[in-house]
Amino acid sequence: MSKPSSLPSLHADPAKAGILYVGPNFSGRSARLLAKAQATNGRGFFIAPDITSAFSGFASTLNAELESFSQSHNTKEDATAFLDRLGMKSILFRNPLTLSGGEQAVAALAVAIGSGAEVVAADCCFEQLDVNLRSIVVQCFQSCCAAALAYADNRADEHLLPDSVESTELPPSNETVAATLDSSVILDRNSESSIIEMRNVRASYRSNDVFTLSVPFLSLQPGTVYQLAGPNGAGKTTLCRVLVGLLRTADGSILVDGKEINSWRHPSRVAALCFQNPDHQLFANTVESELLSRGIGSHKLESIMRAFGVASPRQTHPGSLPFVLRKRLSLAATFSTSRGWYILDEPTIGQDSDSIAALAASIRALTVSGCGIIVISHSKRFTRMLDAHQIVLRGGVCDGG
Amino acid sequence: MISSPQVRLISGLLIVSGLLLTRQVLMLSAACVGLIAYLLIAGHFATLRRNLLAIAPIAVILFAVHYLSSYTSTIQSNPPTQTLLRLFGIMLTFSYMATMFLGYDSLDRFVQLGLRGEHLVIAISATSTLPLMQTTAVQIIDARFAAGLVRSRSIFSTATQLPYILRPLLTQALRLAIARSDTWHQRGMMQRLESNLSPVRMEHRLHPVELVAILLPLAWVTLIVGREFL
Repeated sequence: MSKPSSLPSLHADPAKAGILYVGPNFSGRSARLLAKAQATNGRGFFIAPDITSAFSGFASTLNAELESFSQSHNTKEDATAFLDRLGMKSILFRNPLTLSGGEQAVAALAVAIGSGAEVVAADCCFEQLDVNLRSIVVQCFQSCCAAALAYADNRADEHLLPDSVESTELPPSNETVAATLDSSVILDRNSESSIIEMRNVRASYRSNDVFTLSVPFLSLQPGTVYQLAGPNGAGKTTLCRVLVGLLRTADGSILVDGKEINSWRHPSRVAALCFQNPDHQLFANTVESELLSRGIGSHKLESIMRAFGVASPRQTHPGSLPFVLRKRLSLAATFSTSRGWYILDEPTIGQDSDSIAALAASIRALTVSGCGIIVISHSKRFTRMLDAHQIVLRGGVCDGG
Repeated sequence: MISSPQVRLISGLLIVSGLLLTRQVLMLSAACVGLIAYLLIAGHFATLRRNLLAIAPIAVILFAVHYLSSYTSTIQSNPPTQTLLRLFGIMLTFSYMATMFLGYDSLDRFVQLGLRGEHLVIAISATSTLPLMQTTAVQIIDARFAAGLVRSRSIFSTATQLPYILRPLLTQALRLAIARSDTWHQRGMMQRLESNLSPVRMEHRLHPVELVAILLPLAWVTLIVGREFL
């Protein structure tokens, strides 16, 4: 990712106020955003938490999507300029469906700008962006985009907001109370943890590509929380994919307790990975059977459902749950597998501050019992609560643990 | 490499009709070499690898049987050779059709072919469903690997995952379809397609390579017709 280009002043257009909705889960933020988008007579663009639905699905690159479905050449130029300002013009020639979470959020915003919308209503989209990028996006909408921005962001207090953004705080509902995470439940360690080492590991998505990831040396100790930090597209998810064995290494070795393993041949032997998008990782017909299918005993089922606030919809099909609960269920399912290490990719997306605190408490309790956790999160609050060791990635290069 | 959809259509139709007409190993081999050469020159290495994985085993068996049968009997009276020839022809037909007609970025091509409105949407949907499903299926398989629900990457382990993949694939497809219909509505895509507002450039001048792409299959089909029927 290249560096963001210079930005206009923070107060470029005070007349075009942005709207920020803050509030707990189930307080009606999504409904308000949707109403905001629909109130503009077909000139609004709603980006749902499931960002992939913002794309037409007919284009193999973001550029093709913008060329085919932008309102005019001018709006397409606006969208390209927006990407340029964020230093993310390179994603133009990549498939929007296979981008990383943060890149996908930016791509969806670019598509919304290209569509010539009057109002862009983004739900949970901002939570996938790193802190600096969030401020820049808000500033771009204030200064150089024709569209007004309305968004929900549980992490809005982590970055500087322009004065022209009007913040609306929403009260909790009965549903909020019903789906609270129970941090008093202590999650058990399911399996023995091991020391993981990566030595001179290099990997790429295609054999003829330049290396997307390079890890000269990385040592991960059990009983510790690690945070993979770095800007969007830095290679955080790629590192996790290599560790779990979803991406083949071109060079180097991965050692578990000093013994070299072939993670590609035996995926997820050491660690279980919870993806950012919950929708691809829920396979069963009900919430209960989803957790049971991961090998958790029925005696532990109740406690894990309470820990993640998914006890009341236990007989519901996972696909019909709202995004917030689908995300929690995917986390609960990951912790139901018997592994010494858990890797969580943006576990707090869509979660309010109470849920984030409860999740952090559960994770801390797990590490005390000796479990190793690797977290990818752009939430400063969450990583502070976890007291995580930072592993920084820049341009696909990892600077060690 | 061949950007004009008209050229793709003409040359594709010529090749497919030639493949359906011929029963000769030599002509099928020429078509196979032509396909490999095109994919190599155009740099579609992933497509080439996929095609070769499908075609190569049949081709090897075909030539082995053909070589053996040439000592014992004539090709026409040899049923295994006939079956293999038919199979080889079908595989080549699919490969050419996929190379010439299908593609993820098909919107421009269909617009250039004159499709508009509902017909355009049907055509795009028909050709983009498979790659979309493929992308989602890969993500689901990855998620099952990541959750430790698949023990190894052996062919057997992967094959047994099919029933588990279908359910989330269907759920995901349905949810995405509903969400996409909202997206299409809010972006006014149907109106844009119906009123032909898509800013796709229509101008195209015939490139010498495209001329070759028509003339070569034409000569090949003429040769087949000459050898088979005259």
